[in-house]
Amino acid sequence: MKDEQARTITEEVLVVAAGNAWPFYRLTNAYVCQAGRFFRPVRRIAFYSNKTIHGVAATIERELDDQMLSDAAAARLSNSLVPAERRLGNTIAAALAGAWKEGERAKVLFLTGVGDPATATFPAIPHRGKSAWTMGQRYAPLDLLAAATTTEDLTREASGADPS
Amino acid sequence: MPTHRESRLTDFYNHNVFRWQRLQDVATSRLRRAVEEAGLQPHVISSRVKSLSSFVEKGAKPGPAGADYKYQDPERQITDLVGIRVVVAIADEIPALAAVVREELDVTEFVHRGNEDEGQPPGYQSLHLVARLRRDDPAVVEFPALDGESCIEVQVRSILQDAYASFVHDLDYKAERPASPRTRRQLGVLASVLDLADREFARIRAEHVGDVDPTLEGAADAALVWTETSAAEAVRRFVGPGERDSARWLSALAEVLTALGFRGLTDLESMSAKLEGGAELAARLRFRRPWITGSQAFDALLQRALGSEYLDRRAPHLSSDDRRALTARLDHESDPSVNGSASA
Repeated sequence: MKDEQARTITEEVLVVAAGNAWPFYRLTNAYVCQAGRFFRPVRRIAFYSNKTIHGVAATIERELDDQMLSDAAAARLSNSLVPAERRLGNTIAAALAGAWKEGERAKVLFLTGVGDPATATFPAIPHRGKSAWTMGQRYAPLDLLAAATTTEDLTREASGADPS
Repeated sequence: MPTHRESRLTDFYNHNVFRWQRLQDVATSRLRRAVEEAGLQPHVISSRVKSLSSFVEKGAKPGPAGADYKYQDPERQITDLVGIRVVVAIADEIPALAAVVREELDVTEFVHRGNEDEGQPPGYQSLHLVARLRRDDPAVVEFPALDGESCIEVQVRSILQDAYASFVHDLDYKAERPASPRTRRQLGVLASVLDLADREFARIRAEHVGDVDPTLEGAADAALVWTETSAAEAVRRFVGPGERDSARWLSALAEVLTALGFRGLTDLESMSAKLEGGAELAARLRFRRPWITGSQAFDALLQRALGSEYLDRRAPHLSSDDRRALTARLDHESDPSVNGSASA
């Protein structure tokens, strides 16, 4: 019973499919996705790519929805005297240099970096299934992520389903 | 009988005009106070809300060949719904005034009209800053409806530039026929004379207060406000090819150089020893942040060269908390050993 109670209050982590997003996060400490994308109100995000949940649950420092990704916005914000605007400008510049196109709108999450005390770490979790563990997003408790040896350990514990 | 477009614009105007009037009051009073606190003494600060007829006429203006209208989305593209004009004695005072505007309002565009091409003789000249109230402005906090699209245009110009602009405006809008090529040519000559007079006023005053050695040649040619062209040249000279630099990035850098008080390339040359190693810094920054533009690399170089003076010059009115946060962010950005967008 005590264990069950602990399970209900453990911290839920958003795990996103991250073919591009994982290297992007390593470069920028940010996550960029389509504007308006719904996430449950979680505090942390982890990344899944190459059949692995990478062993990092970053803290979401700030969420900015419906941001215009444009060269003009990147240039203007990167030269702002407001630190958060400068950070957004740099993130937009990085996004435009990658997979995003001029004029697209996006949701931007500022995240703590690898090595930051606010970033939780755990051993990388391999996925042995034939199909991807997620192609959109799923949720898993942080303590389960920390203890899992494969993604099957997460599935058995009935973590959040992927709404996509 | 108004067209459908004119009716739509009229409805939009009537729906928003009271908001613009409030914006006019707040923005003008913010600027007046900030200008006074900064110890600046502009000749005139005036403001107006665009009239209904002017707005509808502008929004329904035909476009160049092939386009129905000049403004496809006039409700968003017309940015001078609230106009504030600040006239200073001489052009030399414009950068300081512009810095105050940028401190007080959220400036989203910064264009020096008439200075786009340094190879051309001057004509109409005025610094245009498109802005909105800052989100943390008490008026916005109290009335969130005052937040929104940038619709305040602040024009900063000298007395002579204002005289020229007023005269040409009258010719363009009140005369019975378009100005002939001969009239245009005469206006061009006049603009050159006024531009020279502005520079001479600045030089004489600087000489009078002891800022300038009168025997120093070329002082009068120093740039008053940086342009994309001169910013590109600065990047090329101190960092190398301006990789990924678009007009927007160069314009942003020009704004920074103006705010820092550099008066031209010769000013930068005078501290060239401190600006050495720009190409190497750019390469090291791009190792972890491949999207870095030449303009950003040059800005990082300026931060390294100026140290704490960078913020003293660029943002002298920051509170100590804001300054601390911004310093941490700048240190982070100019450190080639860390990743790009991480929090400071």
